[in-house]
Amino acid sequence: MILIVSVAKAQVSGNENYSQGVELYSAAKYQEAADIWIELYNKGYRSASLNYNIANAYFKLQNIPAAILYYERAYLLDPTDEDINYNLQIARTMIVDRFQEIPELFFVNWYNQISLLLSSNTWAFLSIISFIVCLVSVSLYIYSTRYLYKVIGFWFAVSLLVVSSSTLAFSLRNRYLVHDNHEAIVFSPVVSGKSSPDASGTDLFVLHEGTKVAIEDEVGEWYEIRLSDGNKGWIPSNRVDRI
Amino acid sequence: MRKLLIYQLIIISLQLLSIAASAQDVAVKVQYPSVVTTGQQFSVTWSVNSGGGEFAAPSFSPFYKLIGPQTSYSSSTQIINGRLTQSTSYTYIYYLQAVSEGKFSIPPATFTLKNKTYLSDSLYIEVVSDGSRQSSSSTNRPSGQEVESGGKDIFVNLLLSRKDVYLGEPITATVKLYTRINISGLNEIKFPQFNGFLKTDLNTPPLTSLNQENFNGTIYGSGVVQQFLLYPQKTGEIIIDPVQLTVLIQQKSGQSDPFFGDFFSTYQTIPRMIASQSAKVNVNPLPGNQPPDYSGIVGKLDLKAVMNKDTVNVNDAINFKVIISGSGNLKVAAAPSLKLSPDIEVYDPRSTEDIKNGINGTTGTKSFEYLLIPRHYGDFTIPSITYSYFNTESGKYEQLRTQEFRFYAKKGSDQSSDITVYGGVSREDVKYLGKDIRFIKTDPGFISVSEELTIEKRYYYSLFLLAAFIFFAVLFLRREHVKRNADISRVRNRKAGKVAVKRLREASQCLKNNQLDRFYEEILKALWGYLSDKLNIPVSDMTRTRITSALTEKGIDESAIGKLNEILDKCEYARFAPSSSGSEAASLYNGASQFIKTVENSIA
Repeated sequence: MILIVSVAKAQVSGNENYSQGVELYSAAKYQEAADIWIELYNKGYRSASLNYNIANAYFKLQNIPAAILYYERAYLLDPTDEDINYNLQIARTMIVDRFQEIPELFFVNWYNQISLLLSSNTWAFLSIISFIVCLVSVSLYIYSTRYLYKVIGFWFAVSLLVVSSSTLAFSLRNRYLVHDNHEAIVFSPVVSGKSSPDASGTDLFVLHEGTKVAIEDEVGEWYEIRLSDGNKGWIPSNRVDRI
Repeated sequence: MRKLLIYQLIIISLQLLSIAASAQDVAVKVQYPSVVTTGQQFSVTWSVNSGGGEFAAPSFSPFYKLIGPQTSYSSSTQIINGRLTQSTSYTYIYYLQAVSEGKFSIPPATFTLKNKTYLSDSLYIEVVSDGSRQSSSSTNRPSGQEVESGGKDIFVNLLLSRKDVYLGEPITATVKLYTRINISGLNEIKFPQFNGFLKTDLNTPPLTSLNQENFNGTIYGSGVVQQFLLYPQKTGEIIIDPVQLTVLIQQKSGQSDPFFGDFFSTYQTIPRMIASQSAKVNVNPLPGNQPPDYSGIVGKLDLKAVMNKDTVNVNDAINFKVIISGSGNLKVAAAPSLKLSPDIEVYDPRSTEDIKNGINGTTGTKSFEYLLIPRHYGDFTIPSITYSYFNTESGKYEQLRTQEFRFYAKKGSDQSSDITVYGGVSREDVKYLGKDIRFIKTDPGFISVSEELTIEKRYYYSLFLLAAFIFFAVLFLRREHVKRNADISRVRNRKAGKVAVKRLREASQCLKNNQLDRFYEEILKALWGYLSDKLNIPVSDMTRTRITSALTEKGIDESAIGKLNEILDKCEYARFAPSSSGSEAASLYNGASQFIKTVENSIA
């Protein structure tokens, strides 16, 4: 009971600060609005709208890498939102680096899209529920004396088993995409990718702020990153911010 | 010799005059040299194209009148293609001698005809001293003077109207020939290339006569060979190459006749090439702060705009005319840009020019005619048009501005809407103007403090295991249950006793309530049901004989079977003769339960 009350309180104060930020943004006080929302974000509040608004404020402040970072974060929480996608596209047109992106296989794309539709916890909940219903259906199949019920029970059990395993997979994928932070945005104006995780390594490529990279490995203060075109290199971990 | 030339000229001009006189307007014309040297004799000729009047010459002071007037008359009649033209001419010639240097004017001569007075022009004559020539030597000059080919006897000049101009400002270039010797013609005129200029030839009358002109104190016969209009196209110092031309000089050959002087001497034509000096022009660039609507014209302009109507039907055309007039290189004038509503269709303007090239540059008008077609009804505005040019007088860019025009486009008449497609609002694409990110979301949506991931917890997976465990446990228990229930007859066998006891209990209840009918019925049901279950015989197949044989098979003694039959008989009898007493019923009950107990004990 106490827990519920405290959660409700936190929710109220979060909403208040949120609308305060909206007012500041509407009055074109972008810095102040961004400060308020960032404070909320740092307190642990998460929502697609919050990330989207932070990104908009940064965009207006001409901080394109930060805007892209928060647009990407908002996208992960609500990949179907049209405004988020639109603004992310606009922000991406303002960065220097352009890659010939290797398109992901269409079913990988679908997999990612679907797994982002619901949160990881919701998927997990659905998975356990469908597993239990699946077992009930198996029982129906086993104990029913009527042929029709047996057929229904059998097919229900099979499909629910599929549902249960796929929702579990979605849950894991969602965790990987949203919470595993395997992607990052370059924040430093210029950073060169090295062939090895030390400053003396050969320069392989040069990245500019706002570019999205995938983090493959981590050694000390260095990340091994993979670019959208498939090239790999090492950059200092303080030059990027994880999504 | 000079006199001869003048005579010839006079005769030619008289002929020209006599043709001109056919207009029958009285005109008094005068011919005279504009520059003379002191002591020189010259003639002044007045000609009148009508006779019968009275001619009065003005006073000639400070000139000295030698002879005059010499009057002559000429008339000519021409019939050309049946048209008769007549002309008459009276000429009055006075010979004068200049006495002193200076510029002098002589008042006009008057000609009075039928109480009307006609005036000639005033005469302006400049008298210069000429030390190199003897005033009285015109008739007996040394004969060698004409052959003298000294550099200054004949030369050509390239005269420029301006030498310091702005880019695009017109310059008049005049090629002028000066000569003191007789020439019979020009040959092979080579004009310079005028590199760096846009050149326009000006109409120059062919060189037929020379005018007297004072050049550095010497009198030359001068004539304009050609005039050009030059528009500088690049900045900096531009050098114009010299003009070269070949003059045909008449040179006397052979001896002069002792009796007739030069008159019969023969002449030879010698070509001589002369060249002018090269000329230099300094072209200044235009100031850097060009207005965006600069048209490229240097000069002086005027701007006017006209619209032919202020109300029009939709899809009908309006004529909008912009007229640019003034001086400057109007040929390069670009069409002014119109900033109109996208609902007005504009066609490329039709431009018409009326441009004259004169010695002061190009003047005229250039007009641009726009065809505007409103595609929607409503009020439309043609914003004021701006047009900039460079004013050479002030050395600044100047902007011209027309007024603003408004017109109203009416909805098309009913007839025209019948012709168009039904429902005829023409549709068009939305016009996009700019790009920006979309506005923030004012609704916080589902805002939550970030939660822990259940997928990472061990208890989550143990939930699956738990569910599976419960499932299998249930499955196992159920299987045991089924095993035991596998044989339905055994179950019934096992339960037969219980069911019978239940029935008997009900029967005893009926007995207590004195419901004897029901009592017997219950007893019967109990016995029949018990036997059916116990002996595994369907109720439909139950007969007394079947029961007896089955019981015997199971090893029940005869007495027990006999007792059963007795009870059954009694019950059946009692049901149809309900007179039997309660004690009898009680003994029946006891017998039935006794029988069941016996069978229960003997058959497992």
